[in-house]
Amino acid sequence: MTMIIFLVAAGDGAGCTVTGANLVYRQALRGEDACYADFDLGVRGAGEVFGVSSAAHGTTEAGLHSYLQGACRDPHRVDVWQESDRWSPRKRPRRAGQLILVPGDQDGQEPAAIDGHAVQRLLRRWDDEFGLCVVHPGPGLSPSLEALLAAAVPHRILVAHRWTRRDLEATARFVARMDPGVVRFVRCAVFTPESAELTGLTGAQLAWIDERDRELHALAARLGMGQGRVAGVIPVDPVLRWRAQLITDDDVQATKVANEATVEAVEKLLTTALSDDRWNRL
Amino acid sequence: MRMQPRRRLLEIWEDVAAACFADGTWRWPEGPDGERDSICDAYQLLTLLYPACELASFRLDSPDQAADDVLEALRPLGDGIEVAKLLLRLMADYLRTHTDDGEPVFTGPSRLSAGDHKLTDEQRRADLTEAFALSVTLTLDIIGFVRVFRASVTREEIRREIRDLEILASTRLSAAMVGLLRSFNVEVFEPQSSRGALLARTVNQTGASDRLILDQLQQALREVRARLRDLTIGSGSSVDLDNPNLLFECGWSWGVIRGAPTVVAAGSIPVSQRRGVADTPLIHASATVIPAVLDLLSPRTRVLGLLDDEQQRLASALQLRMEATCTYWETVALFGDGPWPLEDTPWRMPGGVESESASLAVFQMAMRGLRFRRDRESAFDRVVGILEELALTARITKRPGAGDPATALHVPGFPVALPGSDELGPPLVSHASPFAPALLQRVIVMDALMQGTGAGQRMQRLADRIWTHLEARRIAEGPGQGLWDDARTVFAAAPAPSGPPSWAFTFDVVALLVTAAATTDERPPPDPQLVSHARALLREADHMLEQELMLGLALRGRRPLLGTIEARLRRAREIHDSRPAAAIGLVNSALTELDALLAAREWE
Repeated sequence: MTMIIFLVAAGDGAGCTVTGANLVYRQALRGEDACYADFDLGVRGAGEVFGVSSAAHGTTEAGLHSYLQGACRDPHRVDVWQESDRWSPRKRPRRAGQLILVPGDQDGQEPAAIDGHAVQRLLRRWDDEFGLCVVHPGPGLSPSLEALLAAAVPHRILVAHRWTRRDLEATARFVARMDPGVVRFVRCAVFTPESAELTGLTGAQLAWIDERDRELHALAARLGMGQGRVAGVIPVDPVLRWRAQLITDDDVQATKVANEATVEAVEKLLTTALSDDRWNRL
Repeated sequence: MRMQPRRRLLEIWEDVAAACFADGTWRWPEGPDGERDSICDAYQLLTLLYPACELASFRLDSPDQAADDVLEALRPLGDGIEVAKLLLRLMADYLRTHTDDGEPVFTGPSRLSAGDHKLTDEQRRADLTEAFALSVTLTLDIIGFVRVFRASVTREEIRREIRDLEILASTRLSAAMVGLLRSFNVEVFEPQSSRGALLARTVNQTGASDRLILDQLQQALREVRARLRDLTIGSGSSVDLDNPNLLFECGWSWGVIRGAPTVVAAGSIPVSQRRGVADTPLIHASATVIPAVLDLLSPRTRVLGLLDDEQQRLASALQLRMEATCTYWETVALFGDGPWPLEDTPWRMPGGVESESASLAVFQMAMRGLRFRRDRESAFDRVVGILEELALTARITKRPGAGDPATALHVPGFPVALPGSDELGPPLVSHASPFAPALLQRVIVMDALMQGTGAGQRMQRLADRIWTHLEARRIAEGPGQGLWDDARTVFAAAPAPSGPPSWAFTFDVVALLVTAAATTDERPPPDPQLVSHARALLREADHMLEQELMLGLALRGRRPLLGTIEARLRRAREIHDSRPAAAIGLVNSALTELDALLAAREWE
């Protein structure tokens, strides 16, 4: 099964890039070819998350910007297994699939208009080539998101948001005009009252958080973002929080800087994104 | 109370999940030949569904509001959505399995016993009152569950399934109510008959002449008699109650009454209503019906609008019968100015059998009206006395001797003979619902009424002791671990549990925990004396604070201290009406600090 996923958020800082990077990383570990396309043409931070310093803020070769302006036939691809500085991803695990990053140009300006046909061609090619392709446009209803939606290539949309009242409300407005059948939500950086991170808080603080958490659940249900439409819940994790990057098995098992629960959450999100049955739960 | 119902319920849910669910499939209780039984299945399903529908903090019908510890307990069944979907599947399975040719069936051969003989096919297929009653509770829970769950569902095939389920459940509910209306009876007898003599002996606790006592009883029963004359639909309506010299008893029997008329009604009522062979009212049967009728009348049923118009009509017909029955037993069991007949345990039943189990069944019906009695406060001590006595003679609060006859009361339970069943084969008995959970259920209900009294404290002690007894009877290991019933640790003579856990027993424990949890959820009304005490303390504290504030100059730099004191008093003022004791705590700590300031000033 192949799948194109638009990973979007209503605003900055929801955790799209790091979630998306970990999704394709996990898919590659499963032995499938996976690709991450950085359509966030204004910011270009994906290289850093993958630990590819040569493309930390876009590539010096002809990237997505060049492609969309017609300057090249195919945007430059970074083979993460080869080029990542982090030693563990570079040691490509046996039987892993390809792990490709398609970055923007290092000095590319956000194009004023995007050629819809060019976007469509690109998406179709990726659809043929990769088991999973995560495309991340800029925050909100950016021109790149509009172009992606207009390309009429079958896709699913994962909407990342933080677990706060403000984010829930903004996200509900953001998705209002999208087809609900293809939209699912990813709750990112979620504190739950039983999180290990919350040990050490006073009883009053925990009671307060517990009550607020309950309110958020009720609000989410009211806004049409309840459990039935949640594709994944990514807990707060030190590695994601302090240095947005791939969580490798070594991070969890050897150095233990990351939580196993985070990896499990990403795995679960990946399974949901790729399966019809888990996507349409209720 | 030390019972901690919420924690216990979660433990039981964990054990239920472990006992019933493996490799993605649910294991229904099965008879020796793999047959399913509408009563056993209902008890099993209700161990999950009943708390989920009765207690807000256990709800499973909207995945967004399921509590985390609840989902944790059910983890093997999946997450919130999977649990809800599994429940849907189980409900559908139940409703379709126990339907024959489009008509609901209410059989329960596993609840019947013919001694050394085998049940005949006709007996196996007999509709039972217990099944009617249980189906009322179950279908109300199902309809309520899917009504709420529907709101979270968008997938068309699930929505369709929910619609089908609701229709099936509603049909079964109507059929169960019709069944209950057709298994009610009024039996009339002469004062000189053996029944009459027994009744006279029961109510006559003062040694007065039987004739006098019976006259007084007839007087007291006038109202019940008048109500029973008003019965229109169902069985028990054709009995001649006009002869004031005849005595009577009313209530439900074990199945449909012989010659019960068909209930004619519009709408979803099933057409064929099977003929019955049951006859006399049985106190044990009536006691099982009461909770079902109460479920029909509950606020939840009203608020969610679970009944259609026709069902409303049937429900009020059932309410009339339930109230008449409870009033009848209240009149008989609490008769006279001397000791209550009910205090004279064990209760004597027609045929000369007497049992603690019968006392408990009568107690349940007779005490329904206790909260409305004017003399209830003075009755509390006697009520506690009866329950303590029952716990004692049933060997729950007293060590049973070797081969103690009380063992049979618990395992397999008191045998209730089912008159009329011999028309279909060998005479049958049905074992009364488990004694210890039924007793604790009564204790919890009464305890809620007696809060804050000396009798209430005795009740809580008794509740703790019965709970300890029940805990000891959980299955320690093997299939059904953590569930019930393995009585060997308590009664040496009890047999080892055979096969799967007893779902009837387990459900009774769940039901009593639900009652206990519901009463702890209700905050006890604040003691008015405590409220006025809090007010008085607040007045003095406010005054002292004013004084300290007025001496502002001297207190420069100490504002933060006064700030905390002020905040505490503000909070105390907000809550002193609803939680006076907590308010007093706050005021006290504020007073201590204020007084420290004042004492320092007064120090020479």
